[in-house]
Amino acid sequence: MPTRVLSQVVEQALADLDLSPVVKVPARAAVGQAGAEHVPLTISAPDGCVAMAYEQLVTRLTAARQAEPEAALT
Amino acid sequence: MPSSSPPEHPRQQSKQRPRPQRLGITTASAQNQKGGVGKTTTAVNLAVCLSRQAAGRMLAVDCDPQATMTRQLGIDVRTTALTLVDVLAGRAAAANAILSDVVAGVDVIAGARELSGVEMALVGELGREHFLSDALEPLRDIYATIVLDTPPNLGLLTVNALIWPTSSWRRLAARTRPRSRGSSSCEAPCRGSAGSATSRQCPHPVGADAGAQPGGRAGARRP
Repeated sequence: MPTRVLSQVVEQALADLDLSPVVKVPARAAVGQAGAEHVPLTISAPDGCVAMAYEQLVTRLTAARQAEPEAALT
Repeated sequence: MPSSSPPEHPRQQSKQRPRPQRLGITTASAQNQKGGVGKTTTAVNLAVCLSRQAAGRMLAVDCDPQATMTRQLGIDVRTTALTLVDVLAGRAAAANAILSDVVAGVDVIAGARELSGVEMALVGELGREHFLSDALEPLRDIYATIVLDTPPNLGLLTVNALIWPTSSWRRLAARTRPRSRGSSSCEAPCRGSAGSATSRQCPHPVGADAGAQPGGRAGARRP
């Protein structure tokens, strides 16, 4: 359950459009810590839930792109 | 007696010229009008993950005057010789501003606080929404994917990041948009917003028909 107001607004807006997030990245303290340490979380903790969420996002995006007919890109 | 039509304004002429097709490259940008929502974190981690999963080289471009992405990748802006400022100002080619293999196979064009001045200087330029895409055009054959981090506003730097004519993700998402909302004119300028991590796109037709040619204003690139 999102606690930030903006998260609630975005989720409500998506629901109004009959859309859903591709993936939800958990807001953990480790995210801010990784920024302070200048090392992306996908490198410092590749097996963590945040890194896994980003991996899933990229997988979905890459799969969607590959599934799209090349003709549609022109 | 045939009536002679008045000559067209240069801006109208540029609108009628189709921009060249841009194929074979994908761009993703993290965008949101609010700060502190994870744009930079998303862009950085997306770049790292893409460098692992996607084929081809990966470039991250920091379009934020706060240069948070640059710092998060461990780059000291003060010691960086060339940044996106120099590229947009026409003082350096994009290829010369690239910092190679900064982290996990990700190349970077660093941002700098002077980008805010560049953004203000762009206001009076013709085709101002295409400066970034035109500047990165020479990198088309080098990189398969470009990730852009943007400032937390809808200023010209963000609009420049939105303009990328043939992003497959943008087109994919445009098709998934419900027909009852938005119009087809949104498809041209809008692009995938990776920061929102959704399959929906920006509904605003920003600069939809702006068609200034890349080579038509070389002398104007002096913000």
